[in-house]
Amino acid sequence: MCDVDRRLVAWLDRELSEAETAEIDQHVKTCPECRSRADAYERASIAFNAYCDALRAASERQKTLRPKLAAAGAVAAVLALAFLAQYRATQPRPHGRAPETTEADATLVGGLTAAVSPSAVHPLQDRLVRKVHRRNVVAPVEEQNVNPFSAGPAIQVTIPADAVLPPGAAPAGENFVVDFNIGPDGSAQEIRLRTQLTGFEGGVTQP
Amino acid sequence: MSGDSVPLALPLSRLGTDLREASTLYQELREPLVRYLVCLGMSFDEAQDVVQDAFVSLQRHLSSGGSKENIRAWLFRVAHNRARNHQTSYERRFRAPLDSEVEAIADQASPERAVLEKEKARQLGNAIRTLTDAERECLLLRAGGLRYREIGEILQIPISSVSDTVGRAIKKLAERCNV
Repeated sequence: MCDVDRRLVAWLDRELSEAETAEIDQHVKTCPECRSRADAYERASIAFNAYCDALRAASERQKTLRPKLAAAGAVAAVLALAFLAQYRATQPRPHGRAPETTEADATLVGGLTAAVSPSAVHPLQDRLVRKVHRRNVVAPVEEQNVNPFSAGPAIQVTIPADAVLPPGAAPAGENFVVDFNIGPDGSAQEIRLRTQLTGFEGGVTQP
Repeated sequence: MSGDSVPLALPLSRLGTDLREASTLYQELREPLVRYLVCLGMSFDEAQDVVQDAFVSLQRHLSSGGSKENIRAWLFRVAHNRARNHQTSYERRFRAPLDSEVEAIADQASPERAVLEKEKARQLGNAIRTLTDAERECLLLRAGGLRYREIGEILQIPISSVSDTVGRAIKKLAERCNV
C-alpha cells in the first residue's frame, strides 16, 4: 500500500497544505490503486452522510407520529365511554331498582369517576359510533369466557385507527384497544386504553 | 418546517448590535446542530431543546463580551457538551434500533431498489456501530460541514488527531460495507 493512503481522506477533504495537495494530485494520476481507494473513501463519506440524513428524517417522523396517536387515543376514549353509556343504559339495575338517573357513571382506573349521560353524547360522536358499526370495522364486543377469578379484562373493544383518523394519519393495521370489566352493579370498571402499533406493542394510555 | 416555530426570537433580539447576523447564524446552523445531536442519539425534541439552549448561551457569551471568532465551532462545542452531559441519550447513540426507520426511508426512495438499499443501510449501520465514540463524533461533525480545525476545537483534540481519526473511520466504513 502506498504511503499516501493515510492522507487520502484529508486530501479528499481539502485539508492538506498546498504542497501536499499537489503531491497527492500527482500521485493519484499515476497510481490506480490509490485512485480506486480514494473513490471508495468518497463513497463511504457520501453513504455516511446519507445515513445521518435518514436518522435525522426518522427522528422527526417519530415525533410527528406521537401527537397524532395521542389525539387518536383521546377520540377512542370518547368513543369507548359513549359505547359504555349506551351499554349501561340497556342493562337492568341490580336488585330490581329502577334507575334513579339516566346518567351512567364509569369508574376509571385510579379512582377517577366519569359521568356520561347517553342523551348528552355529542351527535358527532354518536354518528361516529354508528358509522363505525355500520362499516363493520369494529370487532364485535367479545364476551370472552369470563372467569370471575381472573384479573384480566372481560370485554375488549378493538377500534381500527383508520376508523377514527383521517387517511394516512396512522400506519395501516394500527388499532386502539379498550379493555374493561363490568362490575357487579353493572358499571364499567378497570377501563384500560392502549394502542397496538405496527411492528411493536404499543404503550398504554390511561384516561 | 416545524422547527421554525421554536420561540427563539426573544434571545436573538437581545443580541442587539447585529440581529441580522444572529438570525442568519440561527437559520444556517440550527439544522446541522439538530442533525448532529439526533445522530448522537437524542430524540428530535431533546435536540431542539439543546440547540435552543445553545443559542441562549451564545447570546450570553456575546453580551458578556465573548469572542465572535469561530462562532460555528463554539455553538457545536456547547451542544456537544450538553449532549455529553445528557448521559442516557449519549449512551444510546447509534445503538437504538433505528435501522427499521432507515429501511422505511429506503422503501419510499425507490421500490425497485428497496432490497438493495435496505441491505446497504443495514451494513452501514452495523459498520457505524463498530466505530469508536471519537471516530463517530469526528465523522458527524465532518458531515456537518466543519473543518478539521473546528472539529479539533469542539472535541478539544489536536488537528493531527482529527485527521488521523477521520481517515481511520472512513477506511473502516469503506472496508466493512464495500460501498
